[in-house]
Amino acid sequence: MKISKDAEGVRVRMGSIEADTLSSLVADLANALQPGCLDAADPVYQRLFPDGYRDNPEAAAAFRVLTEDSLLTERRERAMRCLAELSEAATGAKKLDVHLGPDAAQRWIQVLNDMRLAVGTRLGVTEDHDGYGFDPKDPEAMSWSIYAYLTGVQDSVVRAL
Amino acid sequence: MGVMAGTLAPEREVQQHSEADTFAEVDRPWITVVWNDPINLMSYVTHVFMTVFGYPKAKAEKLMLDVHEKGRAVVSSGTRERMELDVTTLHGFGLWATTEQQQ
Repeated sequence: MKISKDAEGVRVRMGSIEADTLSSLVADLANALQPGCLDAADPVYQRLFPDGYRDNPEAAAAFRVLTEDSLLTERRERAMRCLAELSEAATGAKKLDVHLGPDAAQRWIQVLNDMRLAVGTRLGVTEDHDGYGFDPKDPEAMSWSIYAYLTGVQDSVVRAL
Repeated sequence: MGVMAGTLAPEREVQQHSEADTFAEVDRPWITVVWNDPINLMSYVTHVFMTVFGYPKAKAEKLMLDVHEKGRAVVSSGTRERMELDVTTLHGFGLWATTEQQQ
């Protein structure tokens, strides 16, 4: 993938295999964000939808009632929009370009962040174990490499903004 | 900073305090706190502070480093409603944010 600034905002150029792989990751996220798909006790759910109050369970519960559904919908819809953009850019050629204006680039980094939060929470990322230099023999090596990949893409888009 | 009494506690409860207590309660603003987490990137957190609050890059970076090094940073203050809105927005960006009344 090559990420660069262009006149409209950010241009993301990638091979068709990479685009397919990225699409399937975004689709996984969109599926996980279907209502009722993630259990409220799931650490990924708790990371994506944290309490708004730290030491006040009553206020946290009231805050959750007001915000949780709309945030779930917002997350799912922005993932679907990125998926549609990837699909539109796919022309059958070996390489494809996705041109992102400022709003779309903003949305992309949020979707990339949602994916990193989900995969990173599942893997148990910590300050000392953040996926760089992961062990290829680790049973979760593939997920670690996906996490590192998403990190690189997100950082590049943020820096191109 | 102006804070409406009705947003802080049921009126009945406020009236049970002495006048001095009531003022102390009302005068303390609400704050939005962002907590450190091992996943959000430093570049991204800085970008979020600039985007959401319109902070200049230097201020956004300072707050990001406070989150990273001290474990938390106060990123905004004001009415309880305003802080709940900030927390909601920050959750949309995937940051770990909470609101509380300033101590």
